[in-house]
Amino acid sequence: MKKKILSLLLMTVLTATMFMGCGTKNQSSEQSTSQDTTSQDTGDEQASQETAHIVMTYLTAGNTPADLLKVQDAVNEITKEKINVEVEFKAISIPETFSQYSLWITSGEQIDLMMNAFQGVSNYVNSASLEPLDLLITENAPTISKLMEEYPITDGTVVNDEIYGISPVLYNYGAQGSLLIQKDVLDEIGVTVKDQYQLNDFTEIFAAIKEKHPDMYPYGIIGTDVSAATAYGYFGIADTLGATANSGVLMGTDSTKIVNLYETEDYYNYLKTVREWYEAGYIMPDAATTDSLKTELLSTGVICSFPMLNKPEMIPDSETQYGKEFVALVTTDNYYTSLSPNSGTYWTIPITSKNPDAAMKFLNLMYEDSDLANLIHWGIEGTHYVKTDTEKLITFPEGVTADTSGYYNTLGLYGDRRYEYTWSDATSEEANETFTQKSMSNKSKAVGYSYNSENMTNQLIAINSVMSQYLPSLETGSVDLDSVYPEFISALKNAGIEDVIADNQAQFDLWLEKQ
Amino acid sequence: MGIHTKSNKIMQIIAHTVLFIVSALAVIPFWLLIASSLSDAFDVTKSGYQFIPKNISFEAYQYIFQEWTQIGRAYGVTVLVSVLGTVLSVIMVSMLAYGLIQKDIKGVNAVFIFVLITMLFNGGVVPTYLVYNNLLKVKNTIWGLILPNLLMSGFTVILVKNYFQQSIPEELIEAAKIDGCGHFRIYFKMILPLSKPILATVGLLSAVSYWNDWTNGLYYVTDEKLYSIQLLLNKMNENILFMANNSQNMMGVDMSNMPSATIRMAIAVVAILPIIIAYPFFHKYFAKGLTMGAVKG
Amino acid sequence: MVKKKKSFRWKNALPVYALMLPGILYFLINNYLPMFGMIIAFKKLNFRDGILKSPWCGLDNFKFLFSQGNTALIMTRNTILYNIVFIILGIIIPITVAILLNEVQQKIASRIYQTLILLPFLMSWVVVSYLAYAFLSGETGFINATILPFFGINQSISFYQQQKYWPFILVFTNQWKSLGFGTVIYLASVIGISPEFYEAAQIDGASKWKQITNITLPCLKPTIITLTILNIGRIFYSDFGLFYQVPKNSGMLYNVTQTIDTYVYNALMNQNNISMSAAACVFQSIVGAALVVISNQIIRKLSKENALF
Repeated sequence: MKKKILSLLLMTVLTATMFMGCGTKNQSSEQSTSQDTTSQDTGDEQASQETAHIVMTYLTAGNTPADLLKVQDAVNEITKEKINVEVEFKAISIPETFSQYSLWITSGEQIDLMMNAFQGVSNYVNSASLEPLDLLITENAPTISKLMEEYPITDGTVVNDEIYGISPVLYNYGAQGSLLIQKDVLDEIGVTVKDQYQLNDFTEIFAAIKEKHPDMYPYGIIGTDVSAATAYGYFGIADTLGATANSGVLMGTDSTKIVNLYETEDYYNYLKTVREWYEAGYIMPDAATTDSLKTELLSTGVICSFPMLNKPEMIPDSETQYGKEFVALVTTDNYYTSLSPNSGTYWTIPITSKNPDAAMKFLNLMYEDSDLANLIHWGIEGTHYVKTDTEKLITFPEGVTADTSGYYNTLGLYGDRRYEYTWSDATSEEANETFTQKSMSNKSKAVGYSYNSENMTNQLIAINSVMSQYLPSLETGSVDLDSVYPEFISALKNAGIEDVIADNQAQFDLWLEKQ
Repeated sequence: MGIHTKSNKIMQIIAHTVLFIVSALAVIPFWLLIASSLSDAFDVTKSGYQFIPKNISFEAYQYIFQEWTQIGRAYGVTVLVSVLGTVLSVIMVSMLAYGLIQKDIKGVNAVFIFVLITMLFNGGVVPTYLVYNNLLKVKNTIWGLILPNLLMSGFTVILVKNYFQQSIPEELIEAAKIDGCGHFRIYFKMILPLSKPILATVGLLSAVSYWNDWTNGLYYVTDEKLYSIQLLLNKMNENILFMANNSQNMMGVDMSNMPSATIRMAIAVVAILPIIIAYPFFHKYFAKGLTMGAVKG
Repeated sequence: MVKKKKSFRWKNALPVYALMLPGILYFLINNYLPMFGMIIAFKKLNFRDGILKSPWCGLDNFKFLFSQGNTALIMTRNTILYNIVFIILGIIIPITVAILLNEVQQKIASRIYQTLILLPFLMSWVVVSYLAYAFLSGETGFINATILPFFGINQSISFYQQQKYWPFILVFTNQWKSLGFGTVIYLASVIGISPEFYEAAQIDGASKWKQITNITLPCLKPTIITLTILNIGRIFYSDFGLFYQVPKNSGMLYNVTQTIDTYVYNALMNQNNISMSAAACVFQSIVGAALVVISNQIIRKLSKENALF
């Protein structure tokens, strides 16, 4: 019995320290931030004595660059002088961020600048994991304030009227649905490229390709393309209202009525066409579950096309990525809609930040000072890259390749990308300008709005699991439409998609009134 | 006697046939695994997985061993963690199990219930992470890879306890006690030698789970020097998949030369080949342990 | 006299406590401390206030488990039925193999068989799922690309799209992977049976079959019962690798492959919702615990000495 009591005692003591630990840590960090702001108000004397140390996530595609510390030192040289801030890069690969960020925040680890790549801020905001940025921006970030007026860099990050994230300024804005197809295959069947394509136009093209190459599956969609979100967006315009299509969409750019995309006639016709393609042998029989990656399928000639959102840099980038020449067959006008959080990148400041002000100052400098941005992005001039005769165009120094370079990370997730160097001059500033202009003239009514799904979590979870059950097979045409589609729609209704859409519409109407 | 030899003969034939089939079923997939890791990625995507590769290619292995120093170190970490973890596990499990068979000592039953409860209730990933990360501060230490996985699940403890009860005659222990042996002596001099089969079993279970584990690394290790082989390979695979499946967002990452169809297979081979090679050597001791247990028990 | 007895007891008990201490401490830290985290399941987590001060939200976090009428039923049915099949086969097949191994007279042959049978156990589920894919894939799988054409069948089977094959595939894969370890456990018990029993039986003229049913199986009974009760406690859990990675999370197979674990994973994948995963954990724990207590009570009624507690 004594033993039992003893162990019970021990347990409670241990647990108490554990939970208290979290609590006190939070408090102390809050205190320190309030101290910081007060010290700022009274004058910069104190701050100038002590260099603020911040931790910033550094995203990689898997390999941490060997020279990361060298670059970090070079960065600190600039930032210590200019804003008296010292940064520490915390390297992490993108797929890991999905599980690690919430663990880091839960355990109170110091992160001052966090890059949310392809994951929206709303889940973090709902668990109060992020600092609101409004005040921090007005106090510390003049450049960002200015950019915010010109560019939609806070789209999709505003929750309850407060800003929680800032996106990099992109080369261009907007998009265009398209099908990317191998140039050699298209030339072979002698098709001249039209301005815009309808779904049915592709049927002819695919038929012609299939005739020339009976072994080839011309339409290269695979299950992983549609496991998270519908591929409809490549063939039609649907604004997802700062969330995913699971909480309703606006069809086209003029509408203000939120509808269930999956129930629309356009979507049904899209599924019908895809099913026809599947039955005609234009889609791999195994498409929904294949393990093969697009790169392999393209290089072995199993497929020759896939849907993609068109942007000026898309073709050159895809050509490096897949090692083939491509043509984009455009399916929609240029448009600009509210961003889906799954494709956005946002700088955020978690509540575990020890120094939010310094973090914001650093962020601001990254947007303001293109030398700093280039340094973080491409490394040290002369060691990791050299300038060429063309403005902004850089290349490897002699004897260095992508494999041997100590610092080569192509994920451009930093500040104002317009002023960062590039490795190819395929896209001119002018092309970017016109593209953005065209897109902005066809702007959705919901730009700037993002749906807060906090009260519909259960419904959205249910909808999510319906999606993972039906979407990959329906959108690769692998199942009989007549029997499965009604099942899919009724499963969505059971999951409560109509409640979610009504909730979304109510929030949206309120937002519209305020505009 | 005749009837027995006849029934024995039939038994031998049945045993060999069945065991041969079962063994073959166990081995054949390994052959396919190794064969496809040595195949040309093009052949696999084009004409499927084959038991005899059309064209032998080491492309996948070349890709993995680009950074062979890291792989070497990761093997080292894995071996260290597996050995240390297994030894600790076996000792702790058997000590606790020995305590649990002392029915006459106060509190032992309570401890047994205490052990049972651990098997039924599970705090989940996040609370466990908090305990190890914030309380024990195991992050980026070798203990982060060892402690969370110490094979102290109630399952093994009960398994060992049952073995003690069934296979070690109580009279033996009683006799030792009368001779004036203390519990420590009984545990070290009698129990441990007599229970080799079960300790070997638990050790194997533990070693395999340490060898195949990468989740602890994912949670508690960010320092690349402490990557275990499974963590390293798992990350490699996951990154390839992520980059390939998010091509819309991953503009400009060159993926065209990645032998991904065969790379997974090669990764699997690299991860398990060492245990397959080492296993027969251990198995010798393992089998010895089993038979020794039989003779003495 | 009383005093003396007591001090003697302590002297006897202390070493036992000392031996148990490391294990007890470990369980306290590794298992009991995190259990307090279960309160997360009943809270609407808010990191600004910390875990303890976050507001309570009753059973809200549990709702998602049942929010889709039919799915909850299907996943519970799948989880339980597969586990029952696994438990039954997990007794029959490994015991058969263990007995056969014990019968093999050539020691070397026996050792080779043992080594080979244990191979699949050494692999992780991820690797098993690659292997399954290498056999089953519609385009590139060994069955479709080589075996079927060999028999003149040109119509390939889309395994990952047809439910009817999967109950068999899952059971087979599970047995294939776990057979080795089950065999080792039972073999340890079979070898532990005193040879005198068999010698006596042989003198009485009992056939091999009789020896197995009258000596071997009864001797294995305690091991069987222990393992079964322990497995019943895990009847609400499923091997994530087996049910998620091996069927490649193919939606068309959900009716026969979805279990509670895979549902929770699919549902929360994009949610980052710690409270809800904690809720799923609590749900599985409580139902599992109830099942263990019930099955233990039943066994206690049938044969008291074999009950776990």
